[in-house]
Amino acid sequence: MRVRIIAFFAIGICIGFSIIAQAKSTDGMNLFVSRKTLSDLELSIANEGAEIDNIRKRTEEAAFKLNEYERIMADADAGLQESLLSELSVYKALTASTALRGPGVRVVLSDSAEDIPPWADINAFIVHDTDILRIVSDLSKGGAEAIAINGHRIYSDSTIYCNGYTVRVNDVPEARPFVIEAIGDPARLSAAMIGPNSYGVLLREYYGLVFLVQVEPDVTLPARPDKSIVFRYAQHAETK
Amino acid sequence: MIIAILMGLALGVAFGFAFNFSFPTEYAFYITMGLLAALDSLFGAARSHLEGKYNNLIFISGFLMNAVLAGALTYLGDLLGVPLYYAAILVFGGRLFNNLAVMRRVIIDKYIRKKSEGHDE
Repeated sequence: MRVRIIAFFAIGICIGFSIIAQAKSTDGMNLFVSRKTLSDLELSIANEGAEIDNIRKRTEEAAFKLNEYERIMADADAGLQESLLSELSVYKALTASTALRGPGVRVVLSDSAEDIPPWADINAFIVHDTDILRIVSDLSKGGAEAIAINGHRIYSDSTIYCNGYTVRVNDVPEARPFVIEAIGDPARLSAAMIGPNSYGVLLREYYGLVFLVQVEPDVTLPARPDKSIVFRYAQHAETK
Repeated sequence: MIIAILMGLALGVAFGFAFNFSFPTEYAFYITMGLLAALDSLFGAARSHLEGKYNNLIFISGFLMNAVLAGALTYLGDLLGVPLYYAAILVFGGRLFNNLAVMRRVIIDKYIRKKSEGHDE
């Protein structure tokens, strides 16, 4: 009987103690966690850890780069940087990679508005690629720094050729009237256009084409479409 | 006897509050199952005590075996991904109520017998 009471008492203590300890440790949380949930959680913890490592590494790399740049910034010859930038802007203007504005002229060239006699050659009354090429050439001679035809910039590999009734400029078909804009000294440019022996005057006087020259205080020429220039054959002759 | 159980429980609860002790979380579920087994054994012992069929060996071995089986079922369920511990909860819970009902009946029987004896005298 005594053993019995002691046993009951002891087990009562165990149970009471366990209940309280358990209630403290679980705090009413759901206890049963299946193995799958556990392994899923382990996996996601591992993933998060890898991600954290990754981000830490990238942060370190970025900090290193930033350091490098700051060092270069501190060291670099400011004059060198400036000269590089100005050189870059010249090349951008030359390759028509940037829009340009400035004083210049606007030349409008269009087909003849006169009645065509039945016996006449129709080719004498319309604008040809050669006419445009001559005018572009004349503008260059007059000191034009940038030229555009109907919004297509003329640069080193520009093309101008007849395509039936239209003229393709930089491979885009364009119809009359052709508006040729150029930036440069307006006086020199207009003189080159309407001087006594200029091609434009010849076109207007002998062929009856529409040829107008306007002096513009401010023309804006757009950049050419984004296109990378690749030299496949040409090489720098000075390269060793 | 019941006084011994209640006193033990009270002392255990007091200890639990007094010492800041908690089980490791991984084993919390097994501890709960063990608790249920212990409660079941305690009620069973109390019942057999009231019925006069109590045996120390049966009580102790029953207590240990129940706890071990409950833990084993929980572990197996964990391995298989099926909550097998439901079996232990259902059996122990059901037996708790069963034992309580029997104890109630025995106590009421005793009380009525005592009363009727007093009435006779």
